Amino acid sequence: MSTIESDTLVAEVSDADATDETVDTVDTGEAVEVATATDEHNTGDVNPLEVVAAGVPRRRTLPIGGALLTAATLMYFGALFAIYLSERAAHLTRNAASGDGTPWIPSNVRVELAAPTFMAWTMLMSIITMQWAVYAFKRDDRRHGLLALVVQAVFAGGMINQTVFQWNQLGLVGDDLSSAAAPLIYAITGSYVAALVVAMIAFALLAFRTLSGSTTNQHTDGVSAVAVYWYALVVLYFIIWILIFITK
Amino acid sequence: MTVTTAENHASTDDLEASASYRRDSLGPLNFIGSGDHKVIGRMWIVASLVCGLVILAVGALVGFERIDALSIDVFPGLEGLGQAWTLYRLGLVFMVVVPLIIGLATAIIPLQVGSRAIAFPRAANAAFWTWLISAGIFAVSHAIDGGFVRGGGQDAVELSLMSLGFMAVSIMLATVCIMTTIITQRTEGMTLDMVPMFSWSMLVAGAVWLFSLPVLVANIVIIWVDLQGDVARYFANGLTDGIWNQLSWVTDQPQIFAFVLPLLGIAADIMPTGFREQPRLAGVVQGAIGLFGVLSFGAYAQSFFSGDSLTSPIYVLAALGLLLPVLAILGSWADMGRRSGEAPSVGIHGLIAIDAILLILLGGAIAFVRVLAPLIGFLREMPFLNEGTINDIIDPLESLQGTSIAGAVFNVVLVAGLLGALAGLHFWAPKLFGRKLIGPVGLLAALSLMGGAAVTAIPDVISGFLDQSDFFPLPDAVEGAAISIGDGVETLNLVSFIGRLGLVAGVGLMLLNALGSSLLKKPEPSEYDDEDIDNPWGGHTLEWATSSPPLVENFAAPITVGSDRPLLDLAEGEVHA
Repeated sequence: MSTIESDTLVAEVSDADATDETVDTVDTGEAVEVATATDEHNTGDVNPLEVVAAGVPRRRTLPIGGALLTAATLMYFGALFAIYLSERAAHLTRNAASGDGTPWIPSNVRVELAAPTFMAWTMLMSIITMQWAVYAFKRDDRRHGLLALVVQAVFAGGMINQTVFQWNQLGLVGDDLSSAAAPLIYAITGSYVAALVVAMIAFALLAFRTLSGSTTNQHTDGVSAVAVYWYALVVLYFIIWILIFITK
Repeated sequence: MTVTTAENHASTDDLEASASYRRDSLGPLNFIGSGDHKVIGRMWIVASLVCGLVILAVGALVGFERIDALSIDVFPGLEGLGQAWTLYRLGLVFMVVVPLIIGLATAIIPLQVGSRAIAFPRAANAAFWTWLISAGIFAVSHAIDGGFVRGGGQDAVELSLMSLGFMAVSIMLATVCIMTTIITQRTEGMTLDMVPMFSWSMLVAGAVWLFSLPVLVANIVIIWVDLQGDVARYFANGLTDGIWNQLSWVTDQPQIFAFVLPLLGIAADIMPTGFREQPRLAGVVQGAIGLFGVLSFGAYAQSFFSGDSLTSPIYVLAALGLLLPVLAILGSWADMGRRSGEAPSVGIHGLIAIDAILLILLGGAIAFVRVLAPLIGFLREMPFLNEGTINDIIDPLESLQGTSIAGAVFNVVLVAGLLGALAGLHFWAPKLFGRKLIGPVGLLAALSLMGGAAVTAIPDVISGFLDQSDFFPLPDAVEGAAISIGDGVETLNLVSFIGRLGLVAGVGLMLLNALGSSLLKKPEPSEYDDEDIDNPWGGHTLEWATSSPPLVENFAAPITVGSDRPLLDLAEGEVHA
């Protein structure tokens, strides 16, 4: 292939296809390796702009996009936690100065630890089932992949159910200006429920794609992206557990 | 060379056939669901310019009423004025400047990195429509007693909050698509340090946006939850301006600098084409853009939660440091000029890019003035300095934070962003519209914007020293107390209003130019005579290696690059040969 001008790319491609390339095909199972020999490479020169009759290598677009969205989700919860801690500290400082002793979480609110602890352990266990799904997808094991996704969805559904139960149990109402705990706790736990719903939608999409007949190892990137998101949710729940239910 | 490729590699004919099928599947309505990043990018650009015309007109009316807020009544009462004011502030960021930059990035960045498409094209399309609908609701909610100042109707305020939140989410989604394209879709041979400067700046800006906009969404969610309570309004107290105080950090320094960061990349891509030189200090420019991104992260500067955040060392350091990266970029241009030994042939796009850089420098300088009080305040710690003397210096500076100087920084920085986008529109118009924009119209738009920003900002800086508040409605005025501001502010506000009219005219001209280029018949190649419309400016980067307008699949075949400026290397190689 000779020097290429920018406005003659198409012509050069066909030219290259016809004459300049020596193509060796190696069956790797997933992709075809194309070895392209050019004049420049034979002589050791490097052409700054070279048209090749090959595609770009497969890149992990979904995991990268998923990781970026997960980072944004972490930052969102990080902001909620920061505001919670900041308001709580300000409240306690004010109370220490005035000596009126109003608690951060109103005294008529029941903060039970049993359910949140159970939920934290549920999330911890779900790491294993999530990794089970990734493992099964990578090995094209459709049955186990689907089963793992269903178990994950059940875990997520259970978490939502428990959170709603807690809202009823707490009896936290936003009619007390002495503390900002109520809107913050509802914002944090409500956002967590929304994040679980997003995960469940992702599980459903992966499951439907797998059920539709395509092999599971085509969706490895997808399940990896969802797994990263889920692991972030696990970490976030442990922070919620410590921040709201243990520290109070 | 060994390249690993996917199994089914389509031929050029296949690509054209599939593109043609997709183009025709919805006929003239194809743009609605298009996954073509160039179409999506054009939709962002045109829609944000239309929004720009509306928002800047609202800003001009606010400026007119501000001449004498208690007598002139363009908007109903001071509440109405306050609502229009928050619409202008948040609208200029989220309905105009950021979407305009996203539109440019969506259309150009896949071309710059040699990709055939944007990553997640359906998500990119969904992001645009979500933003457009949210922007419409945001504007309407302000007209029905929404907004973020005291006294608004609860339902309308909730609508304003939710639409702002959805705008932020859709901007994040579009950003993820752009960042993923840069990270994963680069063509063979293009390492991350070889991506063009606009792509690099979008990567940095995208990272800052993805780390700061979720904080805004968190603010919004907390306020919204608080509004659902029966009685209490802790975060959304209707008797104070608490809602605005929680959201205002996105329209204040240093965060507003993050929103216009890509203008540095646009300018850094444009100028080397004028010098026809390989930028020797490309690494320095990349580092400068990265530093600018770090310093412009502003989610921590929330005075509602932390009263001393606006006097903290990191806040002061950010205001001081933001000037350095811009100066570094100017230094790299000086180096190119010295090596080329002749005046650069920058064209209109280059002139506009220089304007944008000068304006961001002006914005940085005004931002610097705002932090002088805390900066000098640190000197109190020095034992050898007389505290009385320091207090004498600080006293007039200390009250500047909440004055109209904040508005001056806001206007100057965001208009710099508009100018940067205008430079990009002119530079990449052949790729965006298949034709050049009309040069004189662009120059007139740039002059209107540049002049408008200066004429708006300078009076606002002076009236800031005369204690004019930045925030509407003036809290004291609502309570009927006397407003203590210096003499001559009304005249300064009149001058500032004239500047705002210049901004409206500038965006109007931008819109006309872009719409004209979108809708008018594409010229035949013969109409350009001997000019190469595929690369009329002698561009160095990969977007100039394809046709104007590009193919639906961008490039006829994948390209391998061996340098960050492959076309310049190629041209130099031909000259040497």
